[in-house]
Amino acid sequence: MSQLAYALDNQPCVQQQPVLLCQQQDLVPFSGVAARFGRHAIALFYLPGEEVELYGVSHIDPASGAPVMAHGLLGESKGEFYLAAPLHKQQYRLSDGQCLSDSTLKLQVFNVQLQHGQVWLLPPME
Amino acid sequence: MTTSITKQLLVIGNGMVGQHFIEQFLSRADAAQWQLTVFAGEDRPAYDRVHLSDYFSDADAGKLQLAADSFYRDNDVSLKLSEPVLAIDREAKTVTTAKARYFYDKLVLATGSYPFVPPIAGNDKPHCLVYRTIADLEAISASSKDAKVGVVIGGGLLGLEAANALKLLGLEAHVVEFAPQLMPVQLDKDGGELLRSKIAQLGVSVHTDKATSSISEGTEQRLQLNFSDGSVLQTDVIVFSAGIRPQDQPGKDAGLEPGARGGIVINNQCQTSDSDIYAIGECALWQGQLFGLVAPGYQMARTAAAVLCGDSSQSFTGADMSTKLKLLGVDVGSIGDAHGRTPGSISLRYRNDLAGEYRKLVLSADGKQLLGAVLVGDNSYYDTLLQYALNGIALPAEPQSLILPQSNSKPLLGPAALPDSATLCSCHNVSKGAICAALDSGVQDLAGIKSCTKAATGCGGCAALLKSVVEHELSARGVAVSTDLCEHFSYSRQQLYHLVRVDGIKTFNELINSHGRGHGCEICKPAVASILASCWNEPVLAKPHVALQDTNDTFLANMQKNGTYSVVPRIPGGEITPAMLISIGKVAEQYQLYTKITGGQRIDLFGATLDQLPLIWQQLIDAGFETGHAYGKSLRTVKSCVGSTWCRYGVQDSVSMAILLENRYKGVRAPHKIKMAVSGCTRECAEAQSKDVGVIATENGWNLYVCGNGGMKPRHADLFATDLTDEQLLSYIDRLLMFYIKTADRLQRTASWMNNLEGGLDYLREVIIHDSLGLAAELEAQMQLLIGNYQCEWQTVLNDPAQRARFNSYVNAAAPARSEFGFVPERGQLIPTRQLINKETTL
Repeated sequence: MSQLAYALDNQPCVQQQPVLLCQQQDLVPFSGVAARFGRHAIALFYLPGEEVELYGVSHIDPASGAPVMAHGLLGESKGEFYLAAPLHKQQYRLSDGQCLSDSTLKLQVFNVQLQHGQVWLLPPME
Repeated sequence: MTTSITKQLLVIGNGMVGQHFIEQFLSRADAAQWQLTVFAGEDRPAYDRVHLSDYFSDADAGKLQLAADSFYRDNDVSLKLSEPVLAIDREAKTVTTAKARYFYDKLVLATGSYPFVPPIAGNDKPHCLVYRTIADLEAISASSKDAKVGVVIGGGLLGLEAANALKLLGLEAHVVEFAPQLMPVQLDKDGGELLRSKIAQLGVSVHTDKATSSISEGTEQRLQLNFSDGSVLQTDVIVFSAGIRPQDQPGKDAGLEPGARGGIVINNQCQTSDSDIYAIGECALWQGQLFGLVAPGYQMARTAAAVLCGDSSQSFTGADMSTKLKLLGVDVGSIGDAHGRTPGSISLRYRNDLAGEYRKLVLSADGKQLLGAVLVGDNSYYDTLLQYALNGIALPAEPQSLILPQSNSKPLLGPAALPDSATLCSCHNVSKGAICAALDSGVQDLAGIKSCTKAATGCGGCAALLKSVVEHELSARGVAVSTDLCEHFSYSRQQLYHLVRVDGIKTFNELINSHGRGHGCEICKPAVASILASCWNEPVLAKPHVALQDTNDTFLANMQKNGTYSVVPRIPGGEITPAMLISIGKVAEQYQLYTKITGGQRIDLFGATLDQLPLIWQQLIDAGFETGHAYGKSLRTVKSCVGSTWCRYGVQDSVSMAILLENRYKGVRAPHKIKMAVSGCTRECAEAQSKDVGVIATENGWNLYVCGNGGMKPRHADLFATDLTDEQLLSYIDRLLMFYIKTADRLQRTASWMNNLEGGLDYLREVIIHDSLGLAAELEAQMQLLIGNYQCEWQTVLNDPAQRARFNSYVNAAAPARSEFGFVPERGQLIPTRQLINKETTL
């Protein structure tokens, strides 16, 4: 069992029903906001006009355990988008959550989608 | 260590070479076996004689001092000031001063030299002075009060320096030289002639071929010089600078072997005829040669220190006497055999009377080696020529190309062509090989090389060459020395700043679309956000800038390790009313914020959640506070002492000045944070010398110090200007900050910014004080724009519901309880739990 000090945890999200998280207007273009789903906190990054317009990753920083990832800076390198952790600037690839600077760190990825102005959390993709 | 094995090492003389000897000796492991005692004739510890005339632009003798006063104490060196040695007894192995006798096991003579005063009748009249020590400068300065005309007798290197000093003192300056030309030692006839005409243009009258026969009372001025050709010149001050003579008296009296024309004879180990006595510097005679420059003296000091510690691998084998300097603003360089005295040597000359440039090469008979050179008017050729001459590098087929003016094909001697043995810095004897070794050991930049090898920290003449070698070697090692900001912009921060300003660019998207590529990253986004703020000072949270800001700028607070934030209201100058203090306390109490006094004389409140920030700030603003910008790359605080308001020592109102400065520059975004302080007297309780901008009160106004910092690599600020009025102080700081904002790299503090400016502090003075780039008015106007556009960012956020919404922790849930973040009590306050996460069970 993970021993987070919060009422949050970063256990894999296994819910099987689509869940409405928030509205599109809650998102901030090219930046992040955080949303709650039960004990999960999800950082949502909105990239209007890009091939993938919305990414959802855990709001919990894998390195420190602090709920801060939605406040990291969005970066791009060679066409790939990543998130720079706000506390110590580790870079995490948004598509799969892999940390680019430390192979032992990974950010949980959530299957989120933007549909008709609404942000949905969908069951995890296999 | 027991006293029985401690040996006595006495050093006579605490000039530049004597001081270098102490430092070299102490750096050796064996030094611990010795007790070091140093005798100085002067009343102050060693100072920089090379830059003596800085005394007149700075009026601060302390700036010239080579080592801090604590150096001697910390290293257990007994420094006897104003205690010249009167006699040496080699039998008893003692030296005698007016105060006591001292035993020695080994003795080092570093007595230097004294100025030669030609035997002219009347040379002992009042206002007949010499130019050698700080005491001499004080005498010249005193004598120049109420004086109009000053004459220097002697047109050599030091004489021209002295003429510059007289000019700086506001006198009509003349130089009288016995030889037919100026600087006869270093320059040939054509070079001397050109130097003369250039110096005359600068308002210094030059009289060559003049022998002074006597000095009598003047009629118009205080004194009259009578020349052998019957002409006369009236003056108020006379400075003799007709050469130096070795200070060899105590050594000669003790029976050490002297040279025919003075000096104490030494061997390659710097030992005199008595192997327990060493001589170094200007008092030492090596193979019939005296060395009146600091670099050879330093080499002797190193040799003597090594030999004394049993390292016989070092020896002194002569020294290069090449010189490069700026005399009264004129470039002059002399390398090796400048006069072409080598049998069979041939010369190539370039002379341009229009541009005021003269260059000569002296070549070996076969035209393949460079033996010497003379440069007047443009020293940019010097470094390359010196490397050819010192390292015996074969000349190109057409050696004249080395001195002809800029043609595109000028074959520069690139850093790659230099052998590892090539000496780059002769002051500290640093070779290219030593630079490479330092780079191999992990040093990554020019500033690091300077601090670890000391290269380019002596006379600074090799700075440009060092830079090119370091850059070349770094790129050879695969270290990118590209100045590109990141993969999205092929520009340095400085270039981007100019693009933003020139093209009037207001947003990141405009900039990356017109001058960059891709989508940006965590490097370029905050850097560009800072540039945009520095140019236009729009609120950093205005819509187009929101996604660019680092977390701290996004939420106008400092994120702490557990994801909560700290809050720092501005307390200008550290002055606060009890009522304001109570209101901070009330807020802290209400929100259970951990409260701590900062180093910058304000109060930091920790542990606020994102959702609490606007609530906390609403209360603070209602109580009259503004944001403190603790989160921004901008002015943090202006620390102050109470100054003349309360302190019995204070001479100016430092608190009022600190408040004025803090309110003037608050909110201005810069490449990095900026700290300032104002002290009310020289006791310096506000520690202004450790700040980017330090202000210290004097009886007459304010002294301005710049480019200091604390932190990981502390650096004392440099004295920049003295006795400023309030208006001068503000305009210098305006210009300095704006110049820093315009030209520094991303996240570069002022200290390393200045270190990386070619020309360093002097260049900065030229730009800021003397307006050498003609930028002063523009810099002040740009600063005025930033000051005029200031707004409290927290006030702006609170007034805008959309911005305020950003402070909701979750877009779809209520604010989290603070307990979710995990706090535990300690000493009556709440602190984060020590461990937030169990590493083993993370993903």
